[in-house]
Amino acid sequence: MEEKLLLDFAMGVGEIMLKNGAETQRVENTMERILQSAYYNLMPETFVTPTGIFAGITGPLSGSVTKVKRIEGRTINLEKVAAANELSRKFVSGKISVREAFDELEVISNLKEYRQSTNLVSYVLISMCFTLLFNGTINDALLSAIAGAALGLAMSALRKLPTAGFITSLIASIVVTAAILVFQYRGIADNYEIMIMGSIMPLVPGYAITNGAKDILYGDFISGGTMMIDAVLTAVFVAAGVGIALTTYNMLMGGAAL
Amino acid sequence: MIYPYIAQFFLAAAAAAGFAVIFNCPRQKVYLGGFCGGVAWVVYSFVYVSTINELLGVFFGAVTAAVLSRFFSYRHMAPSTLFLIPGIVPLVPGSLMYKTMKGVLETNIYDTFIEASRAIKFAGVIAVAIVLVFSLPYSVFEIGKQKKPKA
Repeated sequence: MEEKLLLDFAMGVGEIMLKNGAETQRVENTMERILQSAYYNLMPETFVTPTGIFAGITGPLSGSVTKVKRIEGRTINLEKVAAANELSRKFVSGKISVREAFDELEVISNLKEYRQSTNLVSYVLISMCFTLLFNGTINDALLSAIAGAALGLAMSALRKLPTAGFITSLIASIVVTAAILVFQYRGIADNYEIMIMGSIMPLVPGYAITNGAKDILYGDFISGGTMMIDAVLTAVFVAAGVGIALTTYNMLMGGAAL
Repeated sequence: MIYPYIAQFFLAAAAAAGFAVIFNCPRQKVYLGGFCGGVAWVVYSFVYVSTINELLGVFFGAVTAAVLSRFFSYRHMAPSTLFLIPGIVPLVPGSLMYKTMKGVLETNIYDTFIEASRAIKFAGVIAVAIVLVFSLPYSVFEIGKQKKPKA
């Protein structure tokens, strides 16, 4: 019984970590360490891909047990990853029992995200700062901030829809480019190109590149390759959104060169 | 880069902290992610301006972010991802994505190819820098660790 409970706990920790954007290697490592904390050797094996977890043990009481968990819908919430990491460390060092660990797992999975307004402010901040970093003027930065606010609102609306991540990127980049082209049409933008470059920065696939590189480093070529494909696809969809908005603007303006 | 380095640092740090919030980093660690991003951008900017080689700039910027994130990971006993992702994101070539798209729209094959290959080079250099730093043993980053007294 104890063994199955341990496996359930390891699966729960792995699920939270993988769902919220941990690297494959970290998930495998954490689960294996939890399973090895038993009094005798359970011969744990874990295999994690970005879309699923497989874990098996062979114990004297339970015999051979394998569990499979399909992971759907990844979001990025690094606070939960850090908390799950901390919990596994506490558990392995023997500070808490399995029962208490399950309770804490429940607490972690219900951790609150940042408020909508905080998220909105960070979208505004990112768009504004990158416009300045790409040598934009103060005027452009303030207009980009408005476009960033539109982007933040679009992202929070899109998150409620059951669409794939790429469609989110596509629609969000259309929204942000359209907002900037409105400023261009009104004639208040100094350099709309810098503004577009700065304002699409919140959408770039930085997370996928970072974790993909780490996965490949640790030899998880399935996860690493998947992450790199994710990065390329996100970049293509963001660029496509910009292209759709720019082409539409050109057509409405009667083919006038931008 | 028309703004002084100190201004660039604060701008990049604010943007990186924004990314840390979007990715839901723990509240007490958002500023560390911002610090990583700010320093990485300043290193990128400085190396780029002084060597006129943007790839070298990205490489050293990404190495800086990775080293800092591993050090913070040791110091604060937290996954390095919390600091690495906000630190790396300012270096990701969003502007080149736009320039590639512009080349496509203008059916300018030459520009499209040049900008797309630049973007791929940037991403590749970032990946190489991360792999390089994360293949070092963990003990390298245990700076300031209390040594055990000899018996």
